[in-house]
Amino acid sequence: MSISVVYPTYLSAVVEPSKVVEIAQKLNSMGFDHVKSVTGIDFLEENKIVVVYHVSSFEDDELAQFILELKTSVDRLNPRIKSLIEIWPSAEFPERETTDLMGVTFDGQPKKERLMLIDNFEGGPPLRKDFKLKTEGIDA
Amino acid sequence: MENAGGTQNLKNAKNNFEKTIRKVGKRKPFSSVRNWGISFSLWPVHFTTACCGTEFAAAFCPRYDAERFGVLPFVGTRQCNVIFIEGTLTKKMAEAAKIVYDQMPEPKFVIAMGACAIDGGIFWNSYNIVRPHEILPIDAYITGCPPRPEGVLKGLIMTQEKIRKRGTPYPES
Repeated sequence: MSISVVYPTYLSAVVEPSKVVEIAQKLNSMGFDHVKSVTGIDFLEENKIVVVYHVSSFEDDELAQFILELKTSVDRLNPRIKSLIEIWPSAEFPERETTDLMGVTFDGQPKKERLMLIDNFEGGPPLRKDFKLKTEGIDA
Repeated sequence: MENAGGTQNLKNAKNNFEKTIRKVGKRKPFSSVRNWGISFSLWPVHFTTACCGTEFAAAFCPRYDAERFGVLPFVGTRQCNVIFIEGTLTKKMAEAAKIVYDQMPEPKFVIAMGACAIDGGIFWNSYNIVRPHEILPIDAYITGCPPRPEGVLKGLIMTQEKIRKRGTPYPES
């Protein structure tokens, strides 16, 4: 685990995927009480997907100035990670969005149905680098 | 039995009368009056698919005041006969648009608004959009990204002229 200060109000923590829940609990007890966004970044050459949680605080006025990003990387072929929905309930919708668009499975997420895409969507997660678009219009 | 025959005759007479009225309604003096009436009672449904909805709302507010053309948005789909496709149409929203269109009573008209509703706009060739002309019969297109409220009014007036001059594009029953 490594913590760095990107700029004075923006902190970055890179952690192992197995320790995410433990560190999230610590952050929650420190006063970071909600998740602002969950993002998946696809690194095709390095064969990994980086999952980023942005967390901040509503209750604590001092912590509310800061945003902390909790970064972890998972295997691209089997992207599985534990859900943080029990620690931060506001992670539910962004996690389901990441599942839809990036194909990351969050264990412990109670709702399995799609959030953003239609149910019979074809062609895998659309925001991955190797997603192939069907060309339409005059070039097709 | 006599009574039942009487009801049958009454039904036949009613059917014939309705058929005659429909035939007469398609002929010149009556059809033009009917189309004139339709063109000044266009009620768009409140169905905002994307950001063009703000310009659509501005067109019906006091400064531009589209109500002077006989057009006012309503909430219920059963009371409306115009649907504006306001901007980009995602696959999930396209299902809803189709349901809303099917719920509206005939005669009904579709106006596509903005670059996204014409051919995708900035979302052209994306994984999640539908071009509205693939699922709905479009009567008028409004260009712009987003169109100005004047453009919305122009689209409405063009639709009214289309109804009055060239006949209505809906299938006659």
